[in-house]
Amino acid sequence: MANTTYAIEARGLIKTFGDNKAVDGIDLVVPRGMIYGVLGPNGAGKTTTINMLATLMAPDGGSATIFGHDITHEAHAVRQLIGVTGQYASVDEKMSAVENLMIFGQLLGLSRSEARTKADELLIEFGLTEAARRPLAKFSGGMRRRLDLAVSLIAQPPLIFLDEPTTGLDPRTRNQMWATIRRLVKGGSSILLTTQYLEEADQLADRIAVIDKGKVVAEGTPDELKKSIGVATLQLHLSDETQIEATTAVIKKVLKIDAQSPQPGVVTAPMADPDTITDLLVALREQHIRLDEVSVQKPTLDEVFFALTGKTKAKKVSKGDQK
Amino acid sequence: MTTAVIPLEQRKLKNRAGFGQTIHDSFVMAKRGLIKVRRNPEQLFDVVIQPILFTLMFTYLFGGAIAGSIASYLPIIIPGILVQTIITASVVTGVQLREDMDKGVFDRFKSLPIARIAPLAGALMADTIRYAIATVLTFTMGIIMGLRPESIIGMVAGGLLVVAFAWCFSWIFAFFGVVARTASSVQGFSLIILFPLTFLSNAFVPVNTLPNWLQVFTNINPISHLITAVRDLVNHGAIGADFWLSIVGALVILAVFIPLTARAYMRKA
Repeated sequence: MANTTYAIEARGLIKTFGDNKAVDGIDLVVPRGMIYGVLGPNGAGKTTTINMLATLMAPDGGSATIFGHDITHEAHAVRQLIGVTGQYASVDEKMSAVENLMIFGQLLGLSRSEARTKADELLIEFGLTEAARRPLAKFSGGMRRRLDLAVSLIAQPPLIFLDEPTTGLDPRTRNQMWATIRRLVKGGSSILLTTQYLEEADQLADRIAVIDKGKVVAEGTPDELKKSIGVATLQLHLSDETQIEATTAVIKKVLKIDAQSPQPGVVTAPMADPDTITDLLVALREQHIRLDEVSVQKPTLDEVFFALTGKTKAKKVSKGDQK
Repeated sequence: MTTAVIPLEQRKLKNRAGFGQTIHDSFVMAKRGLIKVRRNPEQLFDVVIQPILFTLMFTYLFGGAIAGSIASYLPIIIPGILVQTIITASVVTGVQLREDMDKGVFDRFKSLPIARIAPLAGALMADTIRYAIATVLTFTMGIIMGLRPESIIGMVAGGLLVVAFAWCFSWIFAFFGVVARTASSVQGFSLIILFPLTFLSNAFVPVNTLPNWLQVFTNINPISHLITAVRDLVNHGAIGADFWLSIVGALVILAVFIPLTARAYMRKA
């Protein structure tokens, strides 16, 4: 009996294009009913991974199941369980929104009148009724994406793949798309979403896999990922810039760590246990070091991302160059 | 809510598309093709202009020289031009298929639980409307210019034979369409095949005026047999050996190119 606990279970997926290992042994386990984010820079292998899971492309190695159905040997069954919305709108430009929805509805086994009803429902739901009969050439990018997503939902599939659903959209349209995605999950869908935007993954995803160069470099909930590079950062703005050395000495003594001074009058230190901040502040007062501002910053996903994908070095070098 | 999922437990999954579904999906795809034609009537430009232009041009150009008069040339040239026009139109099928496949919508077709071959078969089916238009126009031009077919039934049968043959023939260009990288390479490659096949036939000149070695080719050229079959039907209302040879030729093309095209398409799919 097929194991239907997981929406997606992938083991060691590999896809090679010539010399380029686009996907180099990716494992993914996506439980049912959640938004799973696949986060990575351009060319990391996100789209290739989706293409394999959505049976658009045969893997060169490894295996995967969708609700327990093998993507290679039961591809036709898998296709009955998924909806795919690609990076580029995959609808017919030359036809109107209604015509698109009706053709796809009929391909999915609906009768003409059922397809018509379904098309009307989806047009209302995605706010496309007014433009329903216009050719798509006159659609905005956001409308096209919405129609594309609507087409993916005709069969009411339990798993939806969204490949960079908001790339190229303006902030308002992006927020609408986010609201739609959240609503889908409430309706019982599982969603695999790729994105290059950390904010998007942070906002939407219940779990995230960070991939880089065809490999999963980290996996977990957004909070877990943030915690994995530690640690909050303590930032102290000194009233007297000459006291930087005295301050770092105190920090060394109390927190047993080396503090840094990224700019005059500011001292920063990684801090595993925010509770120790009290001790530090007391010690600073005893040394007559006055502070203008104290802040504790949790790491952002950006920092996680850069730390994991090795982009942080490049960033530091460029900063160094400026000095 | 319309976007609520249908739960897994209520779904009956099939692991392949049956024959009935293949036919159904192909017809839906054909409908898609027809909607696109309706939206872009300029797609029909070639099958409207070519029959009118070529019929006028070739008849007045060669009529006197080859058959002595326009009237006596019409029964020879009209079936010839008809077949040439329609085979040219089937090249366009391959080119348009390539253009279509380069669009994102084909990715979606691949992700749907439909018969894999349906997008191809449907596109080819929709194009029979193009062949039908070209057929009607060529015969109409012929009749305006003075062609008097022996039997209307024979003419209709000749037209149907040509349209059916063109559909079979279009699988060759569909194959190029699937394997080629760009639409223009499909066009270029197809024309190289098209010109010898249509001109080195009995379409325009009597075969016995040709050098012997060329006669050998024109006599085995399936296009020659098709043209003769159409002439028999239009001018004599008769079904001859060439009719059956054309049918056999068409079936051979189907037997070779449907599997070939399908396999190439699946591999890319």
